[in-house]
Amino acid sequence: MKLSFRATKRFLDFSGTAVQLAETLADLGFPNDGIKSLGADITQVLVGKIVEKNQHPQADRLSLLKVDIGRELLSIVCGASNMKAGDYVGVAPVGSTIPGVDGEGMTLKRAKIRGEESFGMCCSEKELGLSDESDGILILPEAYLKTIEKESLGKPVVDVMGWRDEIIEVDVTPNRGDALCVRALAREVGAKLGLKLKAPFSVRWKNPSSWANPSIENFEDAYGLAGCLVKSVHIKATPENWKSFLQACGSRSINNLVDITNIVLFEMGHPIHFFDADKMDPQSIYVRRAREGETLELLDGKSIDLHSEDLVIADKSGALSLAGIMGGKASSVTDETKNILIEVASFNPKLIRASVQRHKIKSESSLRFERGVMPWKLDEVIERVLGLLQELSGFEGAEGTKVVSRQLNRPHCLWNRKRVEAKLGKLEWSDDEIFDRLRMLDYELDVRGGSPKIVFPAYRSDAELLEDVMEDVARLVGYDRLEVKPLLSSESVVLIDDLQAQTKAADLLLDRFVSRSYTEILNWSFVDSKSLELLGVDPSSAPEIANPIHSEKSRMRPMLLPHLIQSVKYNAERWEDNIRLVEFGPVFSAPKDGLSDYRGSPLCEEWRVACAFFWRTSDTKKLWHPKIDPFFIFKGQMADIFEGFQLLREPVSWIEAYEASNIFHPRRKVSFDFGIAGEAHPGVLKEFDLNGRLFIGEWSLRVGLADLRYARAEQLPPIDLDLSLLVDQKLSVGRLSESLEKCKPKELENFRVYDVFESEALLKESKRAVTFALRYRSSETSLSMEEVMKLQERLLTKIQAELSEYRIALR
Amino acid sequence: MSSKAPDSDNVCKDLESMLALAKEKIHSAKSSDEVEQLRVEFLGKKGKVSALLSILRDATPEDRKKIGATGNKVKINLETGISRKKLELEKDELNKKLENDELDSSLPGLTNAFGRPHPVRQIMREACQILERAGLKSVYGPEVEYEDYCFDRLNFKPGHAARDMQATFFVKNAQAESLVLRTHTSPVQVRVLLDLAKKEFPLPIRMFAPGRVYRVDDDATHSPMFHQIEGLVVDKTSGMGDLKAHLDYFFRQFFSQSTKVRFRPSYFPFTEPSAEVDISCVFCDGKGCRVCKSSGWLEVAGAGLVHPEVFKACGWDPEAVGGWAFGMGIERLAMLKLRVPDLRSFFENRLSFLRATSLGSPSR
Repeated sequence: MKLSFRATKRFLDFSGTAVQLAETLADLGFPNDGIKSLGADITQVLVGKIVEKNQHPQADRLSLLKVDIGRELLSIVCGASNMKAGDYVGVAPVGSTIPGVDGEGMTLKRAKIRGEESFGMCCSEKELGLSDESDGILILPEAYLKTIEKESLGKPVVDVMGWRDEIIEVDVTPNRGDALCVRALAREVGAKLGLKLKAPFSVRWKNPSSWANPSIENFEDAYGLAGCLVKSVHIKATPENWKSFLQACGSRSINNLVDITNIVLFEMGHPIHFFDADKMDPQSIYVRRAREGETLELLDGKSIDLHSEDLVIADKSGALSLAGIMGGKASSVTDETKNILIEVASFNPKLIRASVQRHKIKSESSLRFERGVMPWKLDEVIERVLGLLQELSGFEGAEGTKVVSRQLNRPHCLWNRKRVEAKLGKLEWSDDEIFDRLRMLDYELDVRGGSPKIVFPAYRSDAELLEDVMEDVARLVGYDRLEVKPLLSSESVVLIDDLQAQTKAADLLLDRFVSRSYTEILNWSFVDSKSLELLGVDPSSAPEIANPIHSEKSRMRPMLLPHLIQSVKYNAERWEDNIRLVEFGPVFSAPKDGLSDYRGSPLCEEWRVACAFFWRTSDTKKLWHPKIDPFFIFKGQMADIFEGFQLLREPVSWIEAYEASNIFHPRRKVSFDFGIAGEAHPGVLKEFDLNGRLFIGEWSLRVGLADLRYARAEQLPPIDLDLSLLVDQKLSVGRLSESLEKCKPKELENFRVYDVFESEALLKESKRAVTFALRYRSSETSLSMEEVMKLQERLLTKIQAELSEYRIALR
Repeated sequence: MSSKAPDSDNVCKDLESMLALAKEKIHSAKSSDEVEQLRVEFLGKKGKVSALLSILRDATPEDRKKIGATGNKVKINLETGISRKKLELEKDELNKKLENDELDSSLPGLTNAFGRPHPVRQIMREACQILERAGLKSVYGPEVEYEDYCFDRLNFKPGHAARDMQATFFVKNAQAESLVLRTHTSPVQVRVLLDLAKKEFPLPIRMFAPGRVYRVDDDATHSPMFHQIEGLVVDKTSGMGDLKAHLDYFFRQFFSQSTKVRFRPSYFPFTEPSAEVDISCVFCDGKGCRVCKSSGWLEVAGAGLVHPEVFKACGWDPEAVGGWAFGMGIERLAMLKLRVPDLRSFFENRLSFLRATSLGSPSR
C-alpha cells in the first residue's frame, strides 16, 4: 500500500525523515518496495499569475503572456488556449528543469519564437509528470490561491499546493488487513517509538435511534453494520490538499462525496459506502444473503447474477449493493444527490473472498474485507466521515443506527513471562513497560489479580494466542535486540529415511557422469502429452495437473528421457559442442502403478537418472581412433559409470514402458537389470531434426555399491594367453563371452575381447575371427605353460559343446 | 724381430709412448663410434697393445714380468680412458638428439573435459553440508502432496487470504483427498512431526528438508518449479535465540565470516512469531548498491517459531515443546553466490551456461 509521509504526520508527531519512518516500519514487519518523492522534480516550477494576454503578431495559435512571478514580470510565448488573464499557472522560468513530456527532464532556455522572446514556459500537467495526458496548461485553482495570494506568487507550486510528499510503498502481509491504512501504520510506529496517536477531526452524531431491527440477518455472515442519514450535502470539487492526499494513495479525485469515502478508506482502513437516501429506504437497510435468481447492476454498469452465498446490503425493496465489494448503480450518489446514507459494516472475510473469486471483481474495499475488517469503533468511522463532510461539503443533521454482533468475543490470553522468555530470550523491558506499549497498540490489559489478562485489539482478526502477543512484543522490542543463544547441537532422533539410498547413489553416480564429460541439467517436472505420444509412450498413466501453467505442460512426467531428448535438441540448435547431458529427478505415476520412494505418498514417485550423448556426424573427425563406433564409446562409459552398482530393491518394472515405445533402436541396446540404455531409434532423430547419432539411457536410483571387503593381492605371476577363434558370423561376441564365462575353469582369472577380424574371404564363408586375451592364475601353485594349454583346450571343447549350433574352431 | 730377444726397456718405452698417442687420439675423438674404433685399434684382439705384447712369448721371465706389468697398466689406463670418453660422448650425443626432438610437445593433450553438476545441485550440496555440520539430518518427502499436509495442518485456514501467498497447482485424482504439487518443503515437517508424535522418546528433532517445490508462476523472476531447503528443530525448549544462532552460522558458512544476519518481523501462517531473514548485501558488503536497492540488505529466508496450531495438528502438545523452522530458496542463494542475473537460466539447460557457472572450492 502507498503510505503518504505527510498524512502519517497528521496522526503522529514523527520528527524523522521518510526514510527513517520506512525503516521503523520495516522493523515492525512492514517492509517496503521503495520510497517515491512526489513533487521533488518540479520544485523549480513557480506560481505565476497571468496579468496580460495578447495575440502573437505572427502566429494565430500563439499567445503573448505577461506572467507575474512576484519578483518580476515574465514575457512568455504560449501555445495553449485554455488560459485567460487572471489565471494562476505553473511557470518554469529560464534555467529551470522540469520532467518534460517524455519524463527525461528538460531545462528551459531563453527562446525567440516567431520573433517574440520567451523567458519561460507555462507547464501542462503532462510536462510536469503529474498525469499521462493533459489538455492545455495547468490552471491552478483560483479560489484556493486567493486566500494566500500575497505569499504564493513566485513560490514553488508544489509547496503552495501541498503536493510535496514522500510515498512509501509498504508491503502488508495478508494477516494484517487492518494495517492497510495510515492510522494503523501510524499506531504501530507510535507504539514502537512511544508516541501517542493523534485523533483526526470528527463530528459527533446523534445517538443511534431504533430503526429497522434486526439489520443483520445472520451474525455469522456479518459482524456489524452502522447507517447514518445525512441531509442536504453539497456536491462539489475537493480542495487541493485532499486531492493530493488521494493522489499520494494512488487514487484520483472525483468529487467531494466520492473522495470522502476514499479518504476514510485510506486513513482509517475501513471501507464505507454512500447511498443516495432518496433512491432507497435508509431506515430499512440490512445485510443478508442474496436470493436465488436476484440480479444487481453495479456502479460500473455491469449486471451480475447473484449467488445465494453472496452477501448484499438491501432495503425492504431489494438488493442495493454487493456487500464489501461494490455498490449498486440504482442507489448510487449522483450530481443531483441531496441526502445520503453512510453505511459502515464488517463482514465474514471468507464470504467476501468467495464472492470476489466468483464474480472476479476486486476493489480497494474487497481487498480489505477479504483480509478481515473487524466491527471496531464503527461510531468513530462515522464520526470521521461527518468531520470530512463538514469540512468538504457541509450538511444538516445526522442520525442513524448501529448493530454489532454480540457473539463476537474478543480473544484474550494470560501473560506468562516465563514462557515468553523461554521463546524470545531474556527481555530488557519490565512487565509494566511491555504492557504500556501493548496498550498503545490498543490491547486491553487487566492486571488485577494473578496473571495479567491480555485482551487482543479489536481490530485484529488474526490473533488469539500468547504466541501472537509474543510476536508483538518482539516487534516492539526489535527482533535484532532479542538475544542469540550459543550454537548447541545434540543428536537428533532417528527420522524417516526415505530416499537416503537414492540420494547417496545419485551423488556417487553424478560424480562419475561428470568425470566422463556429462553435464547435469534440470527440467521442470511437467510434460506435454503430445511429446510422449510422439515417442510412442501412452500419456494416460501420467498424473494430470488440473490447472497447468501452459495447457501443453499438463502432466507430471512418467519418465525422464523425453525431456533429455528435448534438451539435446535445444543445445544442438544453439551450436553447443560435446552434448552429453545427465539428469536426476523423480517420475510420477498412479499409486497402483508402482512402489513409491516415499512412505505414505499420495502418488507413486520414483527417482531416476537418465543421460543422453549426442554424436554429431562431424564429431567423427575429432576421434583419435576413427574406427571405433561411437556406440562403443557410450557403452564403455556406461560400463564404467555403473561399475559395481547393484539393485537394492525389488526388480524394476518400468523398463517395459520403454520397450513398448519407439524410443530405442531395436537392436542397439545395452542391458542393465535396473535400467535401459542404447542408441535412439532413427525415427526419434528424424522427429527432433537431429543430424547424427543419439545414445540415451535411464536407470532406477534404487541402487547402491556393495562393500568390498579385504582381498589378498595375488602373489604368483599370471600366464597370459590368447584364444583366437574362427566362428560363425551370426554368433555374437556377447553370446560367445557368456559361454566363456559359463565354461571357464577356476584358474581363468579374467578375459576380454581383444580383436574382431572380418575379411572378404571370411565373409564369403559367413565367418569371422574373434580373439580373446585370457589371464590364468592359481593362488596356490605356479602354473606351467603345459597346464595352461591343457586348460585352454578343455575350455574350447566345452564352449563348442555349449554352442553346438555354431561353427567354432581354433584359428 | 721375433728371432731377436726383446729389450724389455724398449718395449716398455714403446708401450708408454703408444699410451700417450692413444690418449691424445681419445681426447680428440668426436663421436662414440670413433672411440669404439680406437678401442678396436688399441685394445682389440689384433690391436696395437696385443701386437706389442706378443713378444712376451719369447721374453725371459724377468722381462715378461716387467713388460706384463707395464702392459696391464697401459691396458687399464686405456680402458678407463676409452669408456669414460665413450660415456661422455654418448651423453652429449643423446642430449643433442633430445634437443632435436621431433615431438611437438606444445600440441594439446588428449583430454576428457569434465562435465558439471547443475549450479542448483552445487548450492544444494553446500547448504546440506553446512546444516549437517550443525547437526541437522536430511529428510525427504514427496512432491505430489495432500493439500491437508501442504496447507491445513500448517495452519493455512481454508478460505484465508494466506493461501493466495502460494499459488497452487492441483493434481487430478480419483482419491477423496485433494492433491497438490507442494508449494513449499514444509509438508515434510508435517510428515516428521506426525511420524514422531507416536514415538516414546521423540526429542530432539533436528532436521532439514531439501527439495523441489511448485507454484503457478511463470515470468522473468518466477519459475513454476524451484528448490527450497527447510530446517526444523523441536526440543523441550528452543526459541528465537537458537534459531538466530543457527541462521547466523548457516549464512556465515555459506557466504563469508563477515556476513551479517538480520531478522525482521513478518507473517507465515505456520510460525508465530515469524521473521524475514536478511543478510548484509554480498555485492556491496552492506554499503548499499543497485542489487540491494541501497538498503545494504538482501532478503534470503523466512523463519519463526513453530505455531502452536501446527503442533496440535500434528499430534503434539504445544505447551510441552518448543520448535523453530526456517526455509529458503536455493535458486535465490545460487543467484547471489554465483552472480547469476536471471532465474530462468537455471532451467534452460543451455550447456555453455551450465559449464561456466560453478562453485570453486567451498570457502570455509
